Amino acid sequence: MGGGVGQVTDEGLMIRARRGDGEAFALLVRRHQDRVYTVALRSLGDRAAAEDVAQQAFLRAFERCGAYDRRWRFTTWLYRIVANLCIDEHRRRARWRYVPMDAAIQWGASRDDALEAREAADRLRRGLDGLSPDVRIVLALRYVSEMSYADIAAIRGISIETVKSHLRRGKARLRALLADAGMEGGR
Amino acid sequence: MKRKPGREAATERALRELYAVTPAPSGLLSRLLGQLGSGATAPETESLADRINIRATRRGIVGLALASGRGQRAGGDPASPVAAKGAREVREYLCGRRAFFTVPWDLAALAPFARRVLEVTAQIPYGEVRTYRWVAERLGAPAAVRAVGNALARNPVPILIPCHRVVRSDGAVGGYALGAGRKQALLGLEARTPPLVGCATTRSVCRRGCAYEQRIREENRIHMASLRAARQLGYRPCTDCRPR
Repeated sequence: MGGGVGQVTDEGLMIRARRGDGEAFALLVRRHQDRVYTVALRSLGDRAAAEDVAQQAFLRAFERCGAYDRRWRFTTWLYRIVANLCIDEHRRRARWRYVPMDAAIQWGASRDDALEAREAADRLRRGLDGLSPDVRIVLALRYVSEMSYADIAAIRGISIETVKSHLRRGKARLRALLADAGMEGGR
Repeated sequence: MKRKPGREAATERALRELYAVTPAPSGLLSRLLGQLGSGATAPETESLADRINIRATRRGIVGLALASGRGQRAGGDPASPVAAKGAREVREYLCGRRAFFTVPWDLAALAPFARRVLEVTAQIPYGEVRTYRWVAERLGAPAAVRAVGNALARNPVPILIPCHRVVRSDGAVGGYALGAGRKQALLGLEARTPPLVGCATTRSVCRRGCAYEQRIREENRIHMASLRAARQLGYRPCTDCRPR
């Protein structure tokens, strides 16, 4: 991600942003906003909260860019902020009870294949929403941002073994959901 | 113990699909730059949200005013559940996430004429404007244009009752209880914000701010300007928020 041929690296842009170059920061946001937003969306399950987290993450990255060390990979630094914000948000929500989305989704009438596929994807996502916040953020970092185990471990401050066990737990849940939905061709 | 490779591949494939990158909302970058550039903040209407005081009786909202002062009325309770609901809806409205209000207002303290003026004004749809003359004619008192203007100037619940959607017939914006500049800002907000949102999976269309609308996933959201356009695409109006 970032830095193709002849492209300025994220790290280079971050150094420029540190000197107050707004253009450099805008370019960083443009490069990463979709993935950052999606990681937050998959971790939190709702778009308003995901948008808030994405916005806050970039603001915080900018405010703290004085503390940025160029030996660090920019994405590691950025996603650590994103992951912490998502976990904070989960913690805040822990006191709230969740209204299931089924009510919103079930009163559809017309159906075709694309529609059914989308509904099936929605059901799977809702099933994964039941996983613990720690597992959800690791899954999102791995499958949205295609981070390595080592990077995820560094971002979350956990061991590579823990990363792998979180991913195993997520996959086991998904396999169970797929099997329930009969989408897996028998067992 | 060994898993079938087919299952493994199916799980991986499903994960990639479920976690596909979703585009960030279009305003994200500009909002960020607005917050960073010269210490400026989000659009004016959003910053307004922090400065609004709301008071309510058990029947509904009786007053909405800027925290700083003028136009503050006695009566009502700022801490009631109705006031809290009103504050939440007003905040959503100012942030472009709501195009209608469900919280009731309570105009019992007003003179009958002023109350009728406000009730007519409340029917002007989001994103549209009418003239003072239009309101007067609706009341069956076409000569009472000035009296209409006076009643709107004393609207105790601006924003909730959209007196900002009433403008002068010469095209000027006219005065506003919260300041003429803010009237322009609210009209700008409404002009930029489509009032309806359709859900591609359920094929239903909601008013922006409806509880169902707020749960539509980003990838399924379709912004719509009118119910007519929605119907042409085969969308049914939500039975909860009843878009018209």
